Amino acid sequence: MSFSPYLSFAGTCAEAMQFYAGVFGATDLQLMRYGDAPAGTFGADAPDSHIMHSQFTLGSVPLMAADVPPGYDARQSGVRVFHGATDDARAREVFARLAEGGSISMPYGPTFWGPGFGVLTDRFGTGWMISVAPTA
Amino acid sequence: MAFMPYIHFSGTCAEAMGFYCKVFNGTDLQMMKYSDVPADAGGAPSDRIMHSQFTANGATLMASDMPPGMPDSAQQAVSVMIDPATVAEGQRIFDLLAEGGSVIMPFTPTFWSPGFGMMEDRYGTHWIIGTQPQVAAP
Repeated sequence: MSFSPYLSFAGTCAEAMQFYAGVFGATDLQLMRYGDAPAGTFGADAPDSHIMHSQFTLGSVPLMAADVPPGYDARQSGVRVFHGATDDARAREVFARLAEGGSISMPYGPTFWGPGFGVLTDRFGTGWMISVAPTA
Repeated sequence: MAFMPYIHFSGTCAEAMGFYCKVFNGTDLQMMKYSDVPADAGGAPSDRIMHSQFTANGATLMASDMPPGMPDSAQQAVSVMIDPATVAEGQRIFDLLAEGGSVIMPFTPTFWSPGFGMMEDRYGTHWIIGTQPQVAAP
């Protein structure tokens, strides 16, 4: 069993997930569109081109996301995705790429609990905490 | 390396994480208050939780309260998805989390999962319970 973040977007899911898969070097991105679902599953509200479910994996851990049907508020708040990178250089690179066009809440740098940590909201509205995995 | 959800609460972190730890049979719940940390390291004279986490079956769930004085932001547009191995376990978890919360999608079979449901619990956390598809024995 795992706890995995599931992100919601309002039509930018495909663009965001393609960007994230590129940042993390994932090659197994799956995009399933509302138009791919069996007829009648979701009513007629959602545009066929919007994403019903998407995911890619790092190791065995998925990042999952979808576009919400029209009328639902998809502005993310109160939850962030925590990512522990393999080393400091990689964490800095991931942080910098995600921050392009976004806003930095806490610049990446050393903290009392670890060698590197930073918080940002990317240009798609997703909140991230980027850290370095403990090496012990 | 992993993607893990990090949940922010507005003062109910200790209560919520204690509850979640029981639901998922976690055994190592850790809580650190803002008052446990020096002010120059982000601490503050507050009983709010600066960081907490527990593990269950090797999976980690992490959360905190927003720092005192920071604007609250109720959880929106991110759900925590869990994938129980059986429908019975999925139903048990769904029923426990849904007490006092609001069901978004009742726990039922779908074309992608034998037991699937969504809800917002009483602490404002959104959950997706998606039972793993049953693979036929070889």
